[in-house]
Amino acid sequence: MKMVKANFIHISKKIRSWRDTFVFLFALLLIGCSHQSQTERVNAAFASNSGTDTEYLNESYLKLSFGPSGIATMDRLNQDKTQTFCSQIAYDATHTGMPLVSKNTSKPDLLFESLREANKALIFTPTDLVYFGDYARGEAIAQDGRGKTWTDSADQFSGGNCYNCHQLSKKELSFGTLGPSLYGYGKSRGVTSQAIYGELIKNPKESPLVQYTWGMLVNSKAYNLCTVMPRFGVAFESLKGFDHSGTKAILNERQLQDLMALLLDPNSPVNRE
Amino acid sequence: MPQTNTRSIRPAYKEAWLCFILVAVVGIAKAQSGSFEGPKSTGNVQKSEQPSEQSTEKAIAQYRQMLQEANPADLYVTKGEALWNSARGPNRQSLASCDLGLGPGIVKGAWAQMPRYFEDTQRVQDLESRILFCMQEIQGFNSIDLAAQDFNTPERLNISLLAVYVASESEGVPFNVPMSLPQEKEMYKIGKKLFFLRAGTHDFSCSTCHSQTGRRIRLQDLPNLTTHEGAGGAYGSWPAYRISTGSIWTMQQRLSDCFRQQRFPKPIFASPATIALSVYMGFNANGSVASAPGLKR
Repeated sequence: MKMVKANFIHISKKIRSWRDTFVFLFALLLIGCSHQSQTERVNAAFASNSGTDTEYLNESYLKLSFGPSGIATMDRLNQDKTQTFCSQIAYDATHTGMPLVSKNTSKPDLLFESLREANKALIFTPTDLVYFGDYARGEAIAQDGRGKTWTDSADQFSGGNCYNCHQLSKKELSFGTLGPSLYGYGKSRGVTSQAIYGELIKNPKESPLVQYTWGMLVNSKAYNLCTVMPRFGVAFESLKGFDHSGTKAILNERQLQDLMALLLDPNSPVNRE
Repeated sequence: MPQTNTRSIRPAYKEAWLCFILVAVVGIAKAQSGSFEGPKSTGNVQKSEQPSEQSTEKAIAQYRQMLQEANPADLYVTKGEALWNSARGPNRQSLASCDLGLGPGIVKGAWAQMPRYFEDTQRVQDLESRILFCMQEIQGFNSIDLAAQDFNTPERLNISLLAVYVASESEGVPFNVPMSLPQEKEMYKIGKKLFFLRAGTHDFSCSTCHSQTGRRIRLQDLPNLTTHEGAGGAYGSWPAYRISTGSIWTMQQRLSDCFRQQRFPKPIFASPATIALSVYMGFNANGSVASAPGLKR
């Protein structure tokens, strides 16, 4: 009798896992079909709105509410470990009253540090140790907010849109305040002459300022894991081993070099009166 | 229902004109009494933070002031009301019997209690999804086909007009989004989860821009939607007339464009996740006064 019961539980568990697998596969089918029409997608989304089944409190439920559009494909809803971690602590912070972006999380420090290390490992060294480009081009990149949306193309160069969140020059009054002001960034950190700037260009590896600024632009999450700042030099689709001269990441190597010049060249609008 | 069919066509025009005059009179009265504030979420721009910005901000404030005195949304409200009362769709019916949660035909104050759970659909629905449902059930439109279209197609523009009319009928009413049923609580949880979900090429979530108070993107003030004040001012002022596009945008369209800028895939119109986000924002706004139609950049 006992065995029968155990067997029964075993079978019912099995059935449940079959059912789960089936639901999962069905969801995958719905999500995965790129040839699925918008009408079919709407149909699936509307059908999923049970509003009662806690089974749907997961990613596949959210995914049924979206459809791919242009280059904004469905895989963009697949979070990496950093995104999952930072989403969770921000969500949790609303219950505990903690600040949303903080290093003092209630999560184990070990995970926090390992994620930060993983992000640090993604910071690449530029070809031939060239860290600096042209500040005028950098200014244009800082102004440009286009790229990577469902109305953009895959081979188009994106902007950095720095002004959305940062003050950078005295002249541009239309700047956001989500990030700190970067006006006078180089000057206030001791890059007060072309001679000093020339030294940074010559020995970039020796300068903590150059290494920090480059690292922050390439992967901000290496410094402040849950910062709102995007990881500009990291490609979403393939985190490692991609061509840094292309359009895989938000900004490519040359664009990052131009932003370095914008921030640190004494002649740049960032460092002039 | 069929009896009102033939009758309701002509009086709708009369009512529309009457309403237009009424709206104009009310508008003028409001402008004079100075109580016709624009969207609360953008009000802070008028406060200058730095001396260098003073002239720009002053100019923007002046521009806003000029526009606030005559929000073009009022014209669309009139159009929406006429649309609500006219017999349309394969069934040639008006939406006069549509139940927005307070009983069939009751529009006044209905939006302030949405999104909510509806017995007949067994779903939590927001303003647009409920209108879509009524258009299908009463007028015979195909809701799936309508939801699959773009925002700028004729019938979808009609949904925006209907939405702005219904929302305007709650102007001045405090939000009271219900949260007693398990379905509503669950939708709130899902909405909140999505609000904080960071993903995509830029690691953005809704909370990237909308979980801090007093921040801007360029010159645009960002409402903190996790707070009562922020959600009340922002959620409560959509649908709104958007100056940059010269059209009415509903919350569904606002959310869709937010997700575009977040670099997410495209949200499906009236899909569960978008409704869940409105449940999250709407409940956070509870107690504050509905101010739609708003006037936006």
